[in-house]
Amino acid sequence: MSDRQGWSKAMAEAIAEAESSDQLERVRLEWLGKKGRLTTAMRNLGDLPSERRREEGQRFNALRESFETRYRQRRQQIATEEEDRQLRMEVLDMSLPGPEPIVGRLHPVSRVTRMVEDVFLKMGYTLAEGPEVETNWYNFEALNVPEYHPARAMQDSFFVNLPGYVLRTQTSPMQIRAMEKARGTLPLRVISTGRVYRRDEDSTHLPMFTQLEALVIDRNVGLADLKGTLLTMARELFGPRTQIRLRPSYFPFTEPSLEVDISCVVCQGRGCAVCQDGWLEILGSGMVHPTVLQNGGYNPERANGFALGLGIERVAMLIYGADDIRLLYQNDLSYLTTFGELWPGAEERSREGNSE
Amino acid sequence: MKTTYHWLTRHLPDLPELDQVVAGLTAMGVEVAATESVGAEYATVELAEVVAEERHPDADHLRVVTVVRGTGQKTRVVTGASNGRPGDRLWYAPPGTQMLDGRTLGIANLRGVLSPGMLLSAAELGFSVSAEGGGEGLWIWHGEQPLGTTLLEILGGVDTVLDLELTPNLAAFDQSAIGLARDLAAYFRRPLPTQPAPWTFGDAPWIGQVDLPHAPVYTLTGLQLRRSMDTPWWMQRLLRVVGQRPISPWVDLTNFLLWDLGQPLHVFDVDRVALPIAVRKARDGERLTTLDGIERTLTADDLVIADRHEALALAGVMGGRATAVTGETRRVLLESAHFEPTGIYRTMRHHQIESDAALHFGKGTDPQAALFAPAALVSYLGDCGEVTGSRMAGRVGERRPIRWNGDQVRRLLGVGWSDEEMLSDLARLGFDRDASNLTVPSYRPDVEALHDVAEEVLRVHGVENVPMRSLTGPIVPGRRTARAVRLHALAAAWAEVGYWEIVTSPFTSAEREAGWVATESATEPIAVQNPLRPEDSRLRRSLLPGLVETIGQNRARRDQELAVFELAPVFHRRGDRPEQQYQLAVGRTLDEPPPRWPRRPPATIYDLKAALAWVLRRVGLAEEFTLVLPEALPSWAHPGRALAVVDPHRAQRGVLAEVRPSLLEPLRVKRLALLVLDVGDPATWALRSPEVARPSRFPSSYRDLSWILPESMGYADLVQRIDRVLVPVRREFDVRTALIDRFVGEHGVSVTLRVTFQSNAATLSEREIEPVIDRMVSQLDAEGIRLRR
Repeated sequence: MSDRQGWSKAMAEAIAEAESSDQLERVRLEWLGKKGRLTTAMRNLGDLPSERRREEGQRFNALRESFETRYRQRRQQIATEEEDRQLRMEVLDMSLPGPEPIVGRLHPVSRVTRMVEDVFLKMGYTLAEGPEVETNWYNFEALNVPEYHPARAMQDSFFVNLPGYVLRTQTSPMQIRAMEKARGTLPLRVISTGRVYRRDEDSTHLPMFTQLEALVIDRNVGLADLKGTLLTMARELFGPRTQIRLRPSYFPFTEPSLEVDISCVVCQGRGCAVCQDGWLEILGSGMVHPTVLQNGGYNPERANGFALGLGIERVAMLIYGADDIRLLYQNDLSYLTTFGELWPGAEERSREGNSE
Repeated sequence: MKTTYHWLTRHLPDLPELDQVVAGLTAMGVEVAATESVGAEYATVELAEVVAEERHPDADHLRVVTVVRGTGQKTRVVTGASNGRPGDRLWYAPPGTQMLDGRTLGIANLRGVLSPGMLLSAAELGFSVSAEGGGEGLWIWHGEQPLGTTLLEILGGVDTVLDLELTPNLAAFDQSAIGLARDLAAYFRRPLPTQPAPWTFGDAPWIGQVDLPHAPVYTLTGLQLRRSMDTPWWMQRLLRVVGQRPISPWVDLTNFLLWDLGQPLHVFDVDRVALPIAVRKARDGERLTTLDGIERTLTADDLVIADRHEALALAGVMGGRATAVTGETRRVLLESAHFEPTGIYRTMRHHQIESDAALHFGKGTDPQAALFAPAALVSYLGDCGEVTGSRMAGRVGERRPIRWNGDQVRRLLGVGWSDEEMLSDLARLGFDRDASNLTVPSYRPDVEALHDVAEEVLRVHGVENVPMRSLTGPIVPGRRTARAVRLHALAAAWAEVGYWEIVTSPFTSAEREAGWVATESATEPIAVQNPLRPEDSRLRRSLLPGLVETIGQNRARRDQELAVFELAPVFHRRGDRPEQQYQLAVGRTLDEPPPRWPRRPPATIYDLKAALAWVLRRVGLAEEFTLVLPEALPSWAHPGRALAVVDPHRAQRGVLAEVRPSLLEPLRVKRLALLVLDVGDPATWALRSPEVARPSRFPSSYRDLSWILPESMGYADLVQRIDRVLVPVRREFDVRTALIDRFVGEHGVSVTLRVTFQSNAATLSEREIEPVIDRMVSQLDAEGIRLRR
């Protein structure tokens, strides 16, 4: 037992010197194997008198614990080193690209339509619907656009071979349908969205485009409420610093009628190539014409209303900075997928407000 | 319409600066589309006097004329004109002058003689003059101005043209300089412009029967020129810059008054008219050759001006050729009338004559202007003209006053403006108030009721002064319709499985539909009567043509894999009513994708099939639409690679198939899978969601089993038979099958299924599993399906 004083040191050195799992295992066997030095020594403790035996036993136990601690640490170290050696053989060129994930998205106009709808749904408007091939009554007469009235020429229509029908030129027919459905109840707050058709095609006009129409009818609704609604809508869509400007205008179904501009989303109203004078024309609105109220079953003496109509493509182009309305409907996948990458969050960004 | 700053100052002398005028017009609702400064080209053209002339040494048709200019300097200029003798005063344009036609004058060498600048004719300067002023030759100036005076000085300096967009209501009162001036006067709080005093009509027996409901005021004034006259220079210039070509005094004066006072006027050559004049409806089939040379067949809806024999003019729309005036006409009948707008508008639309007169009358005019416009015209004739008589039929009707109700206006606008404020706004526009009634000025035919009055208050008071208010009352967030929600869910699910939504136009044609819309089952299409182009002449009955065209257009631009869908209405004609139904179309290219690392195998029709199955489960339609082997196929479908989509009543609602390769060549696609599905009305879909089962805590076991199918059987036959075996087993525990391999070997089609067993109650052992497998093997063996060992 004379060299037991040196065992602790010898064990530590042997463990530290082991370079591989195999070597370390040999060290373990040398000391703690069935015939290991420490095992043998501990087995022989029984030969000692009980007093010594307890003392020596404690000493051996301490030695064994110390060995095992060092052994575990070293084993972990060696495992890591060995794994590293192995992994270094498995190097990839991490500059290579991966396969494109397979994704699809809704058309930008669908997405913006939904987003604008959401703004109005939150404000308590309910969605109304109507057909795209509409009767002349709903599309024109009920909306105070008699035949042979100059207002008909404002919207060049597509006619179909069904007498009395036309491709709807606006979402406004749904106003009348919604009023009829409401049967004179107050308040009425509806929106309707959908494709509309006008016989017009150039860089800023398409024969097919998408409109959102909002209608409110109640006892004491005034132009001031329309103004407040327009500002709320503009700020929801284009950011909290957005300003609006209203100009008197004309629509047969509203009186007074207003054209609505928003402060330019590009230059924040300072004036730039997009807006020229800091303002962008965005929608038409006004107080519902008494004739239209009557045609929808409301008494203009008892209720007023306002309506607004917004071109979704125009909103899409402003939010996403697209400059040619025709590209939206060419369905060029490289164009749509570009927006697929750019657009997630673009809607939200525009609503977070201007960064300044 | 166009007008100019100078023109407006004729009615509103102390007009503010241009930018304020633009702001004022904008605030009043008149959109100023553009402004353009005009007249700078006249800044260098100066008055010079001929002091000598000589023949050109080398050309018979040219002369060398010496003029003395304002500075006293003498300049020799070559001219081809034959007039301009010593003592005549002419317009000389020195080198550097920019001409109307865009040329810049320099020093020309004309057959060896240097000629700096040019002596000019009236036409070269944009004017039209009579023979006395040189006619087509050099413009001989008879004015007293000193030499060196520029033409620009004579014309009163540089002017600005305002290009205005007028909405139909504004066109009823703002389509003239005086109308715009009235609005600006109200905006700038100036007195309203004065209008000429009404003409006093005589009793010449020139007017016979007049259709007073359609022509409430009809007047004729006989006029005669004592000598030839030129249209005043300033007037010619105003007409030219707003886009009217000066033609002759009669034409120019009436044109000017149209844009100045908003009153269309017409002149007849009195010597070609058999008096008296009648204003009547045309006879059906009556013919008239209008000024534009077109012979028109009239209907009883058209109002005409006729003499004793025939129709002379389409009232308020266009004159007739037979009674038109020329530059030489001295004796005329001036017609100044007020017509009922709707009839004029209908005739204009029916004959497609968008004349300026019709675009005024048809949108509404001031009946009083019919009475004072002749006075204005006579005043411009000066001592050249003479009135030979006049007559008026009809009268200006009284306007029904509008009952003033300040509360109603305040409520409509949501403002607290006092009656006093609002009535003073209205007074600025010429509205009179008498007790509780408002009298509307005759030049505002558009104002009919109190809401129109409210708009006038708003225009003058300013929209910006209306407060912002938020709608009050309890607000419950709104809802979409079930239809809208479900359509969105269906579209969104396709996007989730990697398909891109496209939006195509609903316009198509028989040619574009050919091959894609089954002819035997097809309903009648709805035709578009005025398509933009022939290929858009009907509404689509199927989304496939548009989808396939989109795929082709994309492939024409670049080689790429395409996975696209559209969910949109298609249209059918049912008797004399339209029918609109939603359809889903999906397309996926199946050919080799463009080379790209890492390589991906081409898609197969199974990809589309699996996507459809996932989408249907996702939106709860797995039981509404199922896939079966088709009984009939559309002609575009590959007969060996197609499935029908059927509804719970087994009615076919759609097809999933590969497209015949022969149809694909024009699309630059080798293989294409399509799905077309009539989804019906989403509002009536019976949606089913799968039951959500509690997942088992116990491990599952599986067996992989390979089966060799007889030739007559497919995968579904195998699964169907296995399911039959599993019916009782599934009451005990969960058994699922999944296809893990399939190949064609020497013994036929080999299909490997992984059958997975799992229980909610315990870990399953061989004792439970083996008997199931044994039963499966023996029962399938009886049907000719052998287990491959």
